[in-house]
Amino acid sequence: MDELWKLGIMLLIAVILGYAGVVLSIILGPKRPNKEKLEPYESGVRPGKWPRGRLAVKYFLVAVIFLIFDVEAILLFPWALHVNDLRIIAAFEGGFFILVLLVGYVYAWAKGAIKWL
Amino acid sequence: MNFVKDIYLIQPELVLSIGVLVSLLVDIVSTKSTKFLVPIFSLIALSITAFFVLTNFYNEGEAFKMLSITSLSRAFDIAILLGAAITTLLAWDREGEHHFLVLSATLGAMVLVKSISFISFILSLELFSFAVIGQIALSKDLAGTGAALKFFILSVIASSFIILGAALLYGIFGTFYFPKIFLETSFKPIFQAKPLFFIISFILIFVGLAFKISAVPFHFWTPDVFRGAHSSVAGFIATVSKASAFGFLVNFLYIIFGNVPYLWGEILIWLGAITMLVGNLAALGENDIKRMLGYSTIAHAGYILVAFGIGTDTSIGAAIFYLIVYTLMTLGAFAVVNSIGENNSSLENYKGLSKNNGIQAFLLLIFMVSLAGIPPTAGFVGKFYLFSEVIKSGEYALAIWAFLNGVISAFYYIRPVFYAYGREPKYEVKSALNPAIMLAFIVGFVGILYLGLAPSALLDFISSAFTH
Repeated sequence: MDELWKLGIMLLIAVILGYAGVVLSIILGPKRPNKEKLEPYESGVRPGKWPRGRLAVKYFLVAVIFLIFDVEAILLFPWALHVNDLRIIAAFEGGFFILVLLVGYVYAWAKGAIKWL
Repeated sequence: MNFVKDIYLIQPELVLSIGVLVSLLVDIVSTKSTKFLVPIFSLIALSITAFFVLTNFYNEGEAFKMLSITSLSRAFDIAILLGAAITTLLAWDREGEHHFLVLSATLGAMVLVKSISFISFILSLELFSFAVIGQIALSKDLAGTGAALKFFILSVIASSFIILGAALLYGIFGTFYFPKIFLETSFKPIFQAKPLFFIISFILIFVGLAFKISAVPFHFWTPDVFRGAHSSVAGFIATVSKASAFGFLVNFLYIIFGNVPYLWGEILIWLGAITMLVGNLAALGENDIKRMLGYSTIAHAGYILVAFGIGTDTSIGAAIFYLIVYTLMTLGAFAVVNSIGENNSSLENYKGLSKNNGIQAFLLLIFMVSLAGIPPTAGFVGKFYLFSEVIKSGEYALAIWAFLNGVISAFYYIRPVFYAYGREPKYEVKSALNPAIMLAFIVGFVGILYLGLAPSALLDFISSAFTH
């Protein structure tokens, strides 16, 4: 409890410093906007069209299916490294984990989520 | 072998998790003409799970240092499975994915009430929340999408509160395992060392749970989400979500913070008292029956919170009895809303209901009378036991307060019934009465009258969970 005031001072300084940078640059900085400066990414690729347009829903489907394999791979790596050290339980648990994701994949396949590829 | 014993303890959860996977496969093989296969399979999976819950009711123990299986948590399971089965009946015509999501959410809720580790707690909470968000978002109209977005943002905020609180507790005790935290608080003078963070973590996790049980002042999402969601989903949030959050509250209050009841007893009682008043007063002005039922669930959450604040075995038993009764009557009321039509939820459409839709008007009468707590329905018995627990604990002012709230609630519960019987029809309401809705009506009607006239069987069963 007694130590907490130090933390409070640190928080206060952090907040003041954070806001000071933003506020001071608004007050003191010169403002000479031109077309190049107002672009979202300076020196980047010139934006072609309005960013809030429509995207094909296929991209989202691919992202979700990718997630199935991605998460599976990430979680199976440590499992595969240690499956020999663990008991037979680990094999069952890994198998059940793959089964769960397999059902999800079969569902996506049957509903035609990857038909267009 | 220890592993086999743990697996043996969690049989119902395993059965349900296999049911979740198979329901998705059933959805694939069912065509447009055999769409009814998915809800039928879903009901079968739920009833097999319920069978396993009942046969293993007195098997107690700890599984994987993650779940604590007690008869008390199995009693909460009964309320959860009952709610899930009736919502499956209400959602008979919806997409197959809906039933898959109902099963997943039920699995999440069943694991949630048994969690004694922050890992299983947060995982099951997320499983539950995301399945419910999916259910809301399956109504692809503007209202449904808006409700899904509101519920998503609020449940993410609630989860982040809970995770921050869990992180603080981990920082103090160095463990996710609740019984270890209980031991540490009972033997070590942890309160002299870091009482501030202990209290803050209590507040953070409790705020997250208060979002789930829609306690004041975290109740604002309830009527909006109920209005936009399909009535079966609204009923699911009102019953299963509450039952699971209250079930977890038992572990949370009596294990993690079990050594410091002076910290939360008064808070829960005051919060419950304010919650019931706010819910009842806000419901008075509502002209939309779904929003009105949303405020009514807030008021009922207040009654149950008070029972938890008193915190004796019998008061928790009365709370479980009330939860089961509340599941039956709230889902019955939502079944009436479903049969009158999702978009006809304005009270104007309920004027003169008895002329053209006699069955719905009569059942509306029964369910509303039960929600208001008038004999001979189960709502009266539930309120009676709850309030008598309040009186036994010596909180007379609280008992009078709760009784006055019951009187206020009678006004808005009786209004739709008065419209249905006392007014001329304003609009032509085309109601749908398919066999599934009829079955939901029968379950609700028979359950409420049976528990209202002969409650002792269920009460003995629930109290046997404490004394066996």
